[in-house]
Amino acid sequence: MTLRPAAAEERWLALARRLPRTVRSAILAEHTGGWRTANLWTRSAFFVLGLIAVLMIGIIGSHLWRDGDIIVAGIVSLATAEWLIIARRQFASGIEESLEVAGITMLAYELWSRLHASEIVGFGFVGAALAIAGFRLLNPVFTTLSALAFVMALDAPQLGAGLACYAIALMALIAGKRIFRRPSHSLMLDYLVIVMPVAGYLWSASRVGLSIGTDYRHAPLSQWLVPVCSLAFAGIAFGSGLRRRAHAPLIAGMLCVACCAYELRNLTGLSLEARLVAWGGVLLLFSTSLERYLRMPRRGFTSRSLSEDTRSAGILELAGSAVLTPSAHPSKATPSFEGGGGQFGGGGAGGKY
Amino acid sequence: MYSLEEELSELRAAGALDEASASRMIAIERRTVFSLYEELRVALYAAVALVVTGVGILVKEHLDRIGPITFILALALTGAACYVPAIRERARATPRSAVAEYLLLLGALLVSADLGYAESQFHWFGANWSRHLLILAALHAFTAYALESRLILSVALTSLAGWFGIERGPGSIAIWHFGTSALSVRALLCAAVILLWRAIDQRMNAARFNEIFEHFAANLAFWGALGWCSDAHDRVFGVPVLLALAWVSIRTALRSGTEQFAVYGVGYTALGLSIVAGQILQLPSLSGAVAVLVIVLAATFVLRHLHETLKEAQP
Repeated sequence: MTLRPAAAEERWLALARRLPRTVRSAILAEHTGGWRTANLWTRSAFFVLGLIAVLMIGIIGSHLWRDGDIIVAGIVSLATAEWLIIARRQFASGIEESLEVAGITMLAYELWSRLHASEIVGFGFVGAALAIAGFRLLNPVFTTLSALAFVMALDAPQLGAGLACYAIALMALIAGKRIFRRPSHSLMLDYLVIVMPVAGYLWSASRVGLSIGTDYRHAPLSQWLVPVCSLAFAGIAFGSGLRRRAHAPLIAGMLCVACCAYELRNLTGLSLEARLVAWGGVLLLFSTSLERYLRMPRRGFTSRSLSEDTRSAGILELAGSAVLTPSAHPSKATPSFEGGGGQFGGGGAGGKY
Repeated sequence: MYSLEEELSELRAAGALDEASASRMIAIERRTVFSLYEELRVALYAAVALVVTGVGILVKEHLDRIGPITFILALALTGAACYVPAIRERARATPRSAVAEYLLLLGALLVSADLGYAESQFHWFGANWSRHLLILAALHAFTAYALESRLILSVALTSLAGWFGIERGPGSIAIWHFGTSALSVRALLCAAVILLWRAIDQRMNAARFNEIFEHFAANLAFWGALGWCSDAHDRVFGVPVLLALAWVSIRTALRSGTEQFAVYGVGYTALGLSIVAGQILQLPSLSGAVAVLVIVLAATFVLRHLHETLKEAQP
């Protein structure tokens, strides 16, 4: 009985996603030990379908077993997930992931509620459940969520929780230097490197209130710790990303710079629209210069695409541009970033607004 | 970090991968070449989003204070300037760079904001103000074809959807907001117009934008059908339309080998049928939960089958 793909099989599965379709099918048959996986779209659909199924199992359980509904739903979900993994050899397919994580979380919740433990202990239970599911399924999303739940379980002050997140991210960044056999282990660290500093910023900034914004011209020195941490992590991440030539630290660095810019938004005293246009312009100028500078590879760095298959990303891009397109009356519509629009009539629908 | 160099070398040795592809992929694994392409695209998108949002707020907040002619001209000139890199690259017949693509997008969005502002100031169309969206759709469509831009075509299609009165944004994603009968009809009509446009594109433009039309039309049509399904009076039309759309979508997936259409066909249908079953059987009930569970399991089975079929059918 095989509980999950061997490291070699997982590597071939990872490689198969990058290869041209013509090569892919032959490889899958030969090297992946019959493990079946799904692409991003199908995996997402399966994940959602799995969650709905678990919810329905829970409702059915509540009708049939009034006291043990969550236990029954949890066990049924978990058993189905394990059957899909062991008997049907599903790996990173979405459905077994949602069933497994929901099943374990339900059991953890039930255990927590029967122990009448505090909310903080509850976060610990959820963290443990997500960690078990994450390591069982080799899923980086669950392991990252588990790290977040454990930070919540620390019940530390907001700044302390924020610093704990930065510490986890830093450790993941250091550990990420190692060459791993399993792609999933490397991805687990990558996700921590990207998510934890953002969580760290959100935690530490929420001490004052994220929407209010601190006036740093009159803020005490200790308050400066919030943007400084973000900026320091960005510096470390950029340095490490460029030295190792890894994407995750670079993405983390970009997000940290964005967090820092957001935190220092009141520093200039400019209006919101002026700041948005100015910073957008600066970013545009910087990206344009970098793109042009790296059109010819320099020390191995290039701004050109090295991948042939950009189909999924292309569709996301189209959706992104559609989101930005103004499609309502300017006197009523909210800015495109905030979405929405008025209740207006359209073609032939009259002009009720 | 991890490297798949070992496996790539094995493939090259077995002759499964040609020398050029294998060398390129091994160079990526060794990180002797490293692309910042995706990071730059994200940064460019963020820059465009910031500028457009800033301009949006500027228009909204200072609508009455800014001299309209000055503002309209300034925005038009800035927008037009953004088109220049893409036009130059097109004239030189060089491949479009990410910068030119995103500047073009910024230009198109600024032109959209500009025309919207001008309309709000001068009320050219009066009560039928939304006609400016139709003009924008035509203008962006022209630009998309002239400059071969997928992003601008998506802007054109969104403007067209706006003219049809279809809201875009978080509110419209929720079915309970989308579920008015009139809005569903508009969404379906808009999808039909896009399909007609696609048919013309297939004849005139060698179907280069086929995929974009199909994605837009599929999503709009399914949302329209879901709107009907969520309404107690309209679900009698909603369910057959939803099933018909699912059939078309799955056929498109099998024909084109594009798995997203299988996901649309199965996912939207499962959602719509679950809504109907949940409403009729009053969902927290046992029968409602059983019905939805059966729908979800059937959808999972069908999607898995389609996934395997498409995987085997791929050339």
